[in-house]
Amino acid sequence: MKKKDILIELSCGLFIVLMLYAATSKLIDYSTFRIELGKSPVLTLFAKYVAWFIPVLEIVIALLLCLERTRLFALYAFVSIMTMFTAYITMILNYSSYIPCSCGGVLQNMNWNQHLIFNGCFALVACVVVLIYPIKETQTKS
Amino acid sequence: MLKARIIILLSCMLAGTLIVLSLYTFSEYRSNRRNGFVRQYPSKKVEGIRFIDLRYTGFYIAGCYADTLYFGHTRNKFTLFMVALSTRDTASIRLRTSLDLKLYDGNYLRTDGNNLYIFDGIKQEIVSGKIGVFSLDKTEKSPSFTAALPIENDSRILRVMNKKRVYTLIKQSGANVQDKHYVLEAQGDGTFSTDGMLVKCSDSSFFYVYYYRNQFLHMDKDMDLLYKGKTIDTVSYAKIKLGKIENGRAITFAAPPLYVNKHCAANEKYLFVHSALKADNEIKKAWDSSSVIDVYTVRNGKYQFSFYISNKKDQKLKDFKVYGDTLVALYENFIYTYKLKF
Repeated sequence: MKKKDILIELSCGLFIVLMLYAATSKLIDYSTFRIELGKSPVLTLFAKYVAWFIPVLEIVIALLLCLERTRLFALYAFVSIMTMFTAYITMILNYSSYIPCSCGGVLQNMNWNQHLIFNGCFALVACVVVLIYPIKETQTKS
Repeated sequence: MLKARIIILLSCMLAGTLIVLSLYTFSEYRSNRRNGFVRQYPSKKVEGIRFIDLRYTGFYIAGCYADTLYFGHTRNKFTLFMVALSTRDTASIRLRTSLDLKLYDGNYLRTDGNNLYIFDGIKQEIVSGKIGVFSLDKTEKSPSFTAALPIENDSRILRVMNKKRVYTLIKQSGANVQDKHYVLEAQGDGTFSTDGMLVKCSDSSFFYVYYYRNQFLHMDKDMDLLYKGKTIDTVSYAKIKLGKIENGRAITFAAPPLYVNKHCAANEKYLFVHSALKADNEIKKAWDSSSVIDVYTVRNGKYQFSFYISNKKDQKLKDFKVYGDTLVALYENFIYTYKLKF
């Protein structure tokens, strides 16, 4: 295995853990997540749908990241969802009068600024992985 | 190939940002719809006087006595910070006590005349002392309360929860709780919908201003209702949505509540309300960079006019009080005083 492959495997593993962790922590404490999301000034109208959609999407991305064939596609999805989170946090921090808390688990201990940097870094790493990802993914492992 | 990937990556990012941006624009659009009322802004009703540095954050206004402002501190409960309005001299005093006081968080200091009180609604205790002596040496038990207002010597209005879990105003004089009470009108839930602020007028009558509806009550010192007043906006029924978490053990807001009135103050002639709602004749830009204060007469609760208190150092007004013709605006770590010209 080349260094590049190790990097890809490691980061994909990390992304899978992150997605699964984020999804389960939301679903375990679903009622709190749903309520906190409703308090968000940006999402209050859609809280009902978003509360389901986000964890399900996270699980789907994690599954697609596991499969070799769909991995590249999953990486794009991962970049998209991380940008969405990052954009959302930026918006909440800068334009909202009320800042709710709607993240579960360990992430609760981060403040919004740390969260922003955390998300941004993940999105960046995912971009790098996409760029170094082998072109013919089906032939790389045999 | 690499170029294609970069393009796909960029479009992913763009799509993500656009989705969030459209959600935001939509909710902005919803929250900026017309509220159906207009304000009057006569010019030169207030004049900015001076800026006074408090040095630290965490101060709240406790009261005013003999041209001196008193501030309590949210974390250091025995600290009293004083600002002389005319000379701008400041001093910090640590209150002494001969009592064994173990107070809970959430207690607060208030001054009324030269009396000094610490209200602790959870410990169900009211500690008092005198300005000048700065020693707390009297303590009285009370029912459990969620808001308090010293009204006359040794009397205070307390907001308690009755058996039906609806907020109720009672009066306690000395250690005696009077039988007379005023049950606040619930709109759905009994505690969230009736939440509001108590503020005293100079003649010992007082107001209860609701947070979530366009109403305030004016009562005399014996808790007889003088009138129910209306703030100028159109929200007559509290727009709040509640939710239960942990199998109903805790109740909390399920959506951001619609605030109508944020802060209030009163002097002998006027009631001042910091409103949370934009009038149709106001410009969004002015609204964002300032706080609007609506003025009502104490006598009959009629709307007079409004004025702006602009943001200072990019901070929005945190609280304000009016003493005579001086308006004190509190920000994070400083105050700004205004002279009222009416």
